[in-house]
Amino acid sequence: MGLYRNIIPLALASTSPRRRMLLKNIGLEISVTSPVCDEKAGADEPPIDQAMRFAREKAFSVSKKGNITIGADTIVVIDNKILGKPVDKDDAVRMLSLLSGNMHRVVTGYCIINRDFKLILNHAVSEVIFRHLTKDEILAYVETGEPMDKAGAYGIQFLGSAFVSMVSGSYTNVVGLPLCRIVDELLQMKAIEPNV
Amino acid sequence: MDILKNIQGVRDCIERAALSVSRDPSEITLVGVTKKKDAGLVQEAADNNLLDFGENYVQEAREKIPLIKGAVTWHFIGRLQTNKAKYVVNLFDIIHSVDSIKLADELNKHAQRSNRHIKILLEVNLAEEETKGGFCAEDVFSAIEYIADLPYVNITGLMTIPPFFNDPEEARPYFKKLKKLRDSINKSLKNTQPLKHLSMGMSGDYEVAVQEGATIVRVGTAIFGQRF
Repeated sequence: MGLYRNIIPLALASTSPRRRMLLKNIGLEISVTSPVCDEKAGADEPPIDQAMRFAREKAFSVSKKGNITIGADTIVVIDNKILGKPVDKDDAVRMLSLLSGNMHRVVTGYCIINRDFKLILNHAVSEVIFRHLTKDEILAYVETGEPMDKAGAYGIQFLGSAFVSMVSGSYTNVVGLPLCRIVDELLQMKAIEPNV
Repeated sequence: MDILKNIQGVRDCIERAALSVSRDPSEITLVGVTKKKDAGLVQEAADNNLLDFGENYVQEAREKIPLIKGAVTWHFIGRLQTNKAKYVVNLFDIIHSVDSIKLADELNKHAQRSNRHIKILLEVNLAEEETKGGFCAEDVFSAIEYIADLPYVNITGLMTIPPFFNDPEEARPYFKKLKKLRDSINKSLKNTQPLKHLSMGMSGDYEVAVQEGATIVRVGTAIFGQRF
């Protein structure tokens, strides 16, 4: 039995299997559509603005009558620079070297379009501290392939968890969707309810 | 940066936003804002079927516009000083930012000299912000009656730039207001051509603007990025 159930059909504007799993894990049924702008190149704008704009555009571009559509965009920010997905192994090594021994921020912009096509647009920020990594650890991690499809070149939920000494803020935000906020919003708009 | 993908993404959003309020998406013109973007990038967009561009600065436009090939429509969307009117009538097809009678007179004069008819929109400063140009809502009616008698300029609608908000929902009331203003102008001024266009909505809020009736959206960052 799931913790929640849908009242209104939910659509997720994302190709990320991680976001989908987060919502499925709490019992929700989600249809997934991948938006054209899913892999949009980043503009050189303030990181939070970019994350919120991408979330909004992802959600809008697949929104449908009768659904509630959720869009999200997660970025890793260090020294006010955005780390996207690594383009190759060298890029992954470079990113992980930046993160090693430092604090970075993970920002997820999220947008929920309700059935009246009004939108809720916000963002969540978590702070993550990596312990100091040796060169061999970084190389071995890159060889596992895990970094390659992830912003900032790591995944907190699997192997990358070995590097994380502290998370301040929402953990699921670091995974890709601040679940607590999303559930709160969906409950308020009566899109979901506890599965009693 | 994949311009084609960016353009497609924005068009998808416009389409969904239009359908959400049962509007025909083809009523909406996407204007790519190309200020501070070099001609090569503009040409790339033009080659990918984006054929409306907006420029903010006269000097920059004078250098860039002659370089672009294709059936492109140029929109002037920046603040326009009356002494620059003579340049814009020859470079642009539509001026979004007409914010005084004096400017409309100047445009009419220079359009006549060039034997050209130029489309204009009246900029409305709905929040009455001192830093922005535009007519106060109540002054628009008399301005239209005056400008309607100028033979070389055709008023085709209204434009607005709402105050800056992070949340597009906060801009929504301004978009509603502009539409209401246009509708009441069309109702009360029976001797002039009805105004068709509402130029409103930018990268941060264009979907909401479309839901509220925009016929022209001006999108820069979401297509071209913020700067290069």
